[in-house]
Amino acid sequence: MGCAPVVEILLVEDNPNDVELALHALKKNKLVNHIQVVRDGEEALDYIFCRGSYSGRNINDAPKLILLDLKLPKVDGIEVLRQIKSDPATKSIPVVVLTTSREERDVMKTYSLGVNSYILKPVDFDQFVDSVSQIGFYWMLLNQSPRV
Amino acid sequence: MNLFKHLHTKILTVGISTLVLAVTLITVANVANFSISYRSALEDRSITVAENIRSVVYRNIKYFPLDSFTGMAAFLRDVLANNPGLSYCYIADGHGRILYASDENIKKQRKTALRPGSVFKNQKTRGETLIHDGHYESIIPVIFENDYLGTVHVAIEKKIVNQKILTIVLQNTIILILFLALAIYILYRIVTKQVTRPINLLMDRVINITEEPDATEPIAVTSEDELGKLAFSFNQMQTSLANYIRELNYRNNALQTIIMIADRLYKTFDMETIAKYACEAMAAYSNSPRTALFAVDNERKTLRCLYHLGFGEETIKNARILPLEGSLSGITVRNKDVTTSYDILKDETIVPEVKQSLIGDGLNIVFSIPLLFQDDVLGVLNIFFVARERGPIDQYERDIFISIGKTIGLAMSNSRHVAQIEAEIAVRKTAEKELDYRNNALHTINTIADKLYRSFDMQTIAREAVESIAVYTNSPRASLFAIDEQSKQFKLLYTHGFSDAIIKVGSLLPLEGSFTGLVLKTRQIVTSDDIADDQSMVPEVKNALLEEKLSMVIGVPLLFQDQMLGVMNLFFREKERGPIEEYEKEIFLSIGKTIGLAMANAQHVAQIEAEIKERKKAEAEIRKLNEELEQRVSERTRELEFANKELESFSYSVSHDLRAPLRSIDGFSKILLEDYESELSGEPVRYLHLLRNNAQQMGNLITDMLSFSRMSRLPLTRQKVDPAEIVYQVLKELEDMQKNRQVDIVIGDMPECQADPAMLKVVWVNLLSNALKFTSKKEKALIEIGCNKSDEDVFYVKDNGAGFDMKYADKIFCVFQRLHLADEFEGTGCGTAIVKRIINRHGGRVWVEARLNEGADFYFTLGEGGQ
Repeated sequence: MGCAPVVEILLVEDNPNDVELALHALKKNKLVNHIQVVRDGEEALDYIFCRGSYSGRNINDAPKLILLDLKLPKVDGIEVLRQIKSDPATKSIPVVVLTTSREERDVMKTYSLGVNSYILKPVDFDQFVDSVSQIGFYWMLLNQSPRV
Repeated sequence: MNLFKHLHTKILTVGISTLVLAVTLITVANVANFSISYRSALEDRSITVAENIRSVVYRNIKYFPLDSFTGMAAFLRDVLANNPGLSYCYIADGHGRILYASDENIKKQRKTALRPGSVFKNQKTRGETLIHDGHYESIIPVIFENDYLGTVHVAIEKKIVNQKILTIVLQNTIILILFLALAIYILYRIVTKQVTRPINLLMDRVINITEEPDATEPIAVTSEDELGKLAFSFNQMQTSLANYIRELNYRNNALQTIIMIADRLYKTFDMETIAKYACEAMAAYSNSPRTALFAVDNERKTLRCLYHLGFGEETIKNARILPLEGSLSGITVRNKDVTTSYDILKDETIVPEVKQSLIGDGLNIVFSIPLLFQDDVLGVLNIFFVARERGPIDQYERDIFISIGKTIGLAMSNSRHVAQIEAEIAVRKTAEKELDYRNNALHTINTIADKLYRSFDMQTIAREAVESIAVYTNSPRASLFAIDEQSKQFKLLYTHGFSDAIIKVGSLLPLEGSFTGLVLKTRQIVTSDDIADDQSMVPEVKNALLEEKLSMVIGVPLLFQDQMLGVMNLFFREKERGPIEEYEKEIFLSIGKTIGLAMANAQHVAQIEAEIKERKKAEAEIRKLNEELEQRVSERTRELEFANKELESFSYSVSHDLRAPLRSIDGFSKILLEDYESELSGEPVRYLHLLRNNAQQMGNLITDMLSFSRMSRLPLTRQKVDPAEIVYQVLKELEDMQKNRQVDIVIGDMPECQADPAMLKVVWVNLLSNALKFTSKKEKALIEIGCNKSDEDVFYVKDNGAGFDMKYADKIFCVFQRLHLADEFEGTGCGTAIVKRIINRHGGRVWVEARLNEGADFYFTLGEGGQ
């Protein structure tokens, strides 16, 4: 994994079904290249900050977009988001939060932590695909994130 | 101008002036007349001389021409010598040439003779006299045989003539002056005698009268002229004046008497003294040997003798009180005028003894004088006279008697008035004394009250009360008993002057049978002058009191309103204290009430304190219970909070965990349908679609359920909201539901309201989406949105959709309650429940009026804070 190609999207999702569906949706939108999937918050942080099993990774090869589920084992999504946005090295990486609820609490918190966008994971898969495609399209292709 | 001080001087001046003027005029006239006649006489003489000369001429002319007479000049000189007084004479010819002259100088000096003014016709023509060079020159013609030959001139020196005239005038003047002097003297005599003297006489008499006004000697009337009349009038005036003066003197005398009487009378206000002075003064004034003064008693209709002079006590004994009716004095009182009786013998109204006594002294005249003040007769003063010594009374005297009567009346009135005032003052002084006492008492009561009301301790009150009252009343010993409710006896609270050895504070006394008991029973001030008689008294006490001679006791009831709280006894030495006055009793009662009030207050406070104690205890219990309750509440709250949190995390889990598998079901079904469509056909595809539909339906259910739950939990914040704006926004969001169908939406006026905007929007979303949903089967949907404004704003959404039977109306606002089939109208059945929850949280109401197949009208209000 040490010499993996440049990751375009980091998908932080514990639910394997959701991972598969998300990948399916991204694939459908031709955004599937260079997707790194991590299964919990700790792993996500290790990946982003090149720690633990990802210590060999070059921190400068930051993902272009992070799709972050909020409900995660070990370290939850909010904490992951907070750490990404409080580190100068990573805070410019666009983070799109994926969530199944419209819980005010979560939404407000993610915005206050500097989330870049927010996707509700609907039960209707069609809608999900639409949303993912729009978000991916926007952040990957239109929004030029600053290169480190 | 002292010259004219006297009348005769004035008259004489006029007379003399007139005389002098007359004499002067006469003199001047005489002198003029004389000088004329004298001159004429001189002229005649010179003419006569001239005629004599002419006759000589005539005699010679027959023989000689005129100018050739010899010895003619000598002749002329002779003529001149023979006629002294002549100055010169000469003869001139017809041409005026002087032929002959008595003096040669004339001939030389005068070239021509004086020519006559007129032409002489004949020799008989009287000559004429001309003045020439200080001479009177008489000229006569010499006419011979009708020839005018010449003229004869004879002259007298003018100076000599004048001297002669002056001499004669002087003589005349002297004679006149003498005459004048005589005339003046005679005039003076006449004037003096006829005018000045009588006037001077009158004057002297007038001067005399001013000095002796009552002189009556008349002036002799000597003539019938004005002076005589003046003298006569003067005599009359003098007589009148003398009369007036006499009357004046009389009145003066009377006035003096009145003043004297008044002066003496007004110095005293004692009726008897006034009567005495009045009698004495009247006797002295009127020379009466006996007088008597009576005062009128209008109530008794009598006259009472206040003073008399000259009557013996025996005589007057029966006449001290006279009836108003039937007595002489009574008449005086009735008439308010002087009554006179000139014969007492005949007078039936006089008491016999008095009459006898009077007749004995020859006193048969009485004047009864009313003593008036204003219009009231206050008394009568009777004065008696001996007939021969006393003439009849005239009006003057009557007036004076009335005046004196008024003077005495005024004094009597004053006396009465003063007596009244003194009586009033005496009454007032008594009242003042009482007032002083009361004031003093009031002050004491106030002081006591002030002390007493500061304390609510019964023992302190008893001490303060007894000590204060003992000092105030000078009571050497005192005691205060309260009624002890428990033992139904008197309980001694405090003593003053008693030692514990005699009686102890706190000792009990029966309520009945004692002096103190009597006070309790009567509720009045009770006094006893001799405690020795009191058998109920504790012997030690009695002995101790009697030892100090404290035999008098005053018992004061201590009252509060109608309740007897105790008795205070005050002991005195009878000598020191004297009997108790009525007003003192009142004061003691007041003091008793004051103490009673303080005692009542103390009792009350004691009660209140007890109550407060109980209340405090109760409060402590309540507090304890409250604390327990609070603890329980907080425990419960904690539990609830915990439960709530559980619920929240439950919802959270539900939202995440329940949805995730659904999403997977839907997602994988979709993938199957899309990616493996070629491998599937028929039923499997339909099932996959059903699978997806159900998954999505369950997703909706979860969403609505969470929404419903959130609406209950989220805090509500009201703010100003424009409902119309929300409605437009919601309709816009619900545009999809209006596609491909005809929907008429009528939006009425809606006022701004106070509500939670997010929640209100949820309400509108649910109601409007329902309306759109249930009208979807209608060909022409009509939705009315608006607000009825009455007491409160009632918002509504009315549709003409499917409606429902009103018998299910109570179910419509319950969660998951559906009135229609799912394949007819999709939905979770949560919308109206959410609406109701939100409206309830706003304090408002929501209700529905529906008609099956015709539509449903939803109404809601936003509660009290909504407008």
